[in-house]
Amino acid sequence: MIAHDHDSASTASQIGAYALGALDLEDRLALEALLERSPELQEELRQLRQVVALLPYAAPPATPPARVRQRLFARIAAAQTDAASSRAAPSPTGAMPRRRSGWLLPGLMAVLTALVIALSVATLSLNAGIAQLDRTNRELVADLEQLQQTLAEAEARQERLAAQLAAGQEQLESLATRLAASEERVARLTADLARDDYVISFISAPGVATRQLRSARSGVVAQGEMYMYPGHSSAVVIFSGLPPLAPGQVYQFWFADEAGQVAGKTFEADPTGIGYIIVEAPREVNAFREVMVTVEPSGGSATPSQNVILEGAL
Amino acid sequence: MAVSPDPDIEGEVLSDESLIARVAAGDTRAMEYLYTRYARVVYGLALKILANAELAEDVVQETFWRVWNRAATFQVGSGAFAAWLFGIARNLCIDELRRQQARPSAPGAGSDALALDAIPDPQASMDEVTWEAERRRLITSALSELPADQRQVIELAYFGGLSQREIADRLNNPLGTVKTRVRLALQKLKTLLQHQGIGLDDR
Repeated sequence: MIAHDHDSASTASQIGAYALGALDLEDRLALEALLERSPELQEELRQLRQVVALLPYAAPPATPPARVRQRLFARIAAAQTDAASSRAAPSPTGAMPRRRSGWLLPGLMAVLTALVIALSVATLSLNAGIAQLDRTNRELVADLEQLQQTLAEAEARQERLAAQLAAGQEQLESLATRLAASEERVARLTADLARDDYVISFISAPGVATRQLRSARSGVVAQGEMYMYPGHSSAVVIFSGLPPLAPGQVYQFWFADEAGQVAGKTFEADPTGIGYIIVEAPREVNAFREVMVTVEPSGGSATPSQNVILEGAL
Repeated sequence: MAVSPDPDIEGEVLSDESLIARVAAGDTRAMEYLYTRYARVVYGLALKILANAELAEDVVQETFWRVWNRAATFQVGSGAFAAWLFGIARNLCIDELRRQQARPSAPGAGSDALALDAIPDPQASMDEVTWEAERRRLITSALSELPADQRQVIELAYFGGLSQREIADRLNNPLGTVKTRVRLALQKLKTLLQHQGIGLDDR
């Protein structure tokens, strides 16, 4: 009982929020139940509603445009006209002069009574139909709103997927680029490996002859070893101790005989000064008298510079 | 639609209840007087809640249209026409506010429309404006007497259309605290207004 009184007091204390329209549904229902049996609370509500009715004055009043008044009263006038025309329209019973009803035959009266009853039933049925249509309409509106929400969600999902797809494509392109770079590197390494294999098999084959290339400059410890087969035009030369070159310079290999110098390949050494080349002489290697290595501009020269690094007799 | 004073009806001195009774009988002149008396307050209220002149105009029109149609359902004698009228207007505003919150916000005309194409209605009489100004002075003065946190809950509930629970969530305050503030605020407003000798009933 005490708990019940306490609940009632707690509910009643929310009368202000009720007047303000700020009660949640559950509290509102509880308060309305209490209001029904409490005249004091009803009076309190009446007073608080008057307080709340002053709150709109706290917003600065503003004169609405004249068109609002015009539209409103045009609407009212139109409604009045409609109402007047529906009143003026002849109706099956209203058109019948009252004084003639006494002349009607009983049979006709019965028919008319039946007609009126039938019309009443039809009206009730129509009303029920309208109510049903109204319910259906509300359901349809609710369904439509649901569909619109679903559509909006689907569109949002589609946008998210499109963004993910774009990101995926970008990632794919990045991977493809990296793959192409990797393939190029693999191809380069494979070519290097094939060349290394060739050099190893060349210099370790039976019958290979070697010639030494020595530094042509004092203070430079570079040296070279040339592997060749008498009667063949191919040779492999391995260098070590080559000094680093300035930018725009390369080493160039030369063959020489009595007729002059024949330009061979250009090459570079690694950072430790080691390098090798596979050379193809214009004729058999042992037909030349000597070889040398010079420093030349990038791309090589047709005639050797004076900057000779290595030289050797064949 | 201009209305000249009617010898049968002097709207500015007739009470709200007399006017609404005439409206219920289909008297458009009485409706004109009620419109003149309250349209400015309804429009101001709608502008404050919706912050959109176009929507506020719709609210004014729809509010008075409902008054016209439902005048017969108003219980003459309850002495609460203004409360009834403002209740209709506020409900329309809050419904619109919730509709707006439920759908993605579109860049609306906002209050610009007010400045651009509003031709003020010349029919608000000086008496009505004085009456309004007096009511406005009373309520703003009473509101200024409230502690800021109580004023805030009144503002959020009435003009923001929030329930106590929604206010508690918004302010991150316990629900009980919000309920207490609402209760104290309204009681204090009532006391302040009564102490100023103001009859809270209609004209």
